[in-house]
Order: sequence, then structure tokens, then C-alpha cells
Amino acid sequence: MFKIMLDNQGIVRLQGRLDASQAEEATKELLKVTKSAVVDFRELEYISSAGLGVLIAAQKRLKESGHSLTLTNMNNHIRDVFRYARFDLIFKVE
Amino acid sequence: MQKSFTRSTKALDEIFDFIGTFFREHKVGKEVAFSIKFAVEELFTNFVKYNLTSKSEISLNLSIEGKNLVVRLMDSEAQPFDPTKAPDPDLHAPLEQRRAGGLGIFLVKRMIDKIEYHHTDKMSTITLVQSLEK
Repeated sequence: MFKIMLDNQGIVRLQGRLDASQAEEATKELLKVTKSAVVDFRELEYISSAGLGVLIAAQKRLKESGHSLTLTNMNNHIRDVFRYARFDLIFKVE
Repeated sequence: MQKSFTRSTKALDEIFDFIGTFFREHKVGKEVAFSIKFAVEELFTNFVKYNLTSKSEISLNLSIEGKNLVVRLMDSEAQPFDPTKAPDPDLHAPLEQRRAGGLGIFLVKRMIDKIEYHHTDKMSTITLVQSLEK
């Protein structure tokens, strides 16, 4: 079960499990983000490298126009994944 | 506990359900549960990615052996690919050069206590051993 929601305040909310079977859906929704945005992980339970790939691609695309994603409210397990992958070097993580 | 799954990322829901049932039955902690789910997804999708044409299913076996959780993933039609020998990605590369390829296996190696790989007669078996005392 995975959900991605964009609200009108520029916040992207992730929910459930972002695995390889959901990467396409997440990519499609994130393409709608064209300015700097916050991605709220509060209700995301799990992410795999497929999900990390989706976020890298979005960050690369946004950087070309001087924008970026800020990631917030990760659970400890997801925070460890980001730390091991050194995503702190390419994302602002709050 | 063993089950075979269709060679497709669409099988992931079923795989997570299967693993979840085992974890509940054996009261596996959240940290071990996250690491094992992550490792199984990465290695399963790797088997799928490197042999898209085969119709054979991929088997997953979970067991408790002493103080360890042992996971075996078996693909009977696999090309030889030893994940334990895969090169690590450059984690310090600038954003433009960062990519997800190779990251999954690197993270599995970082999270799992012991990984073994065997390949004979097209059969690849990856064994993961994770201490339950975390």
C-alpha cells in the first residue's frame, strides 16, 4: 500500500511503502512538482533503493532550475537508510 | 516457511505479506524486520532484473536458526551474479553523478550481518543471516 499526495502548500506527503512496484507511480506524481518542496515522510513506513532512485531523479531535475526537495519527519529506519546512502550530502533532511 | 513467487515486482505485496506473517509468528523486532524486508526486496528485484525472460518462480525460505533469522532466496534460472562482490557506489559523488544503481546491494551489505552466495547449474542461492538480538 502506497500513497503520494501533493497539497496546495507545496508539501508532498508519502504514505505506506515505497518499493519497486510503486516507483513508477511516485515518479509520475513527483513530475508535477516544479518548485522547491517539502517531502513529508511522517506516514511512510518503508523505502527501498527504487524509492531512493525516484527521489534522486526528482532532485536532479529540480536542481536544473535552481530548486530542491527538503525531506522531513522520517522514521528511524528510513533515516538510517538515508544516512548509510549519504543522502544527507544531496538532500536537506530535517 | 517457504513460498515461491512470480518473477515480477508485482509480487512484492505478496512477498511483504508472507514475510510479515512470519515476523508476527516469531515476534521479530522492528529493526530486524525492516532490514530483512529491504534485503529481500533488493535481492528479489535483482533476480527479476537480470532474467526478465524466464517464467520460473523465485523461492523464498525463512527460518529461525538458534539466535538468527535465516533467509534463503533461490532462483533456478539465474545468471551468475555474486552480490557480495558487487562494487560499492561512490557515495560522495555530486548529485549529477549519483544514481540508484548499485545502491541497493550496498545498503543490503551494510544492514545484514552475513550474506552468502552460491551458484551451481543455473541455481543461485543467496543466504542472509541476521542476529535476532538487535
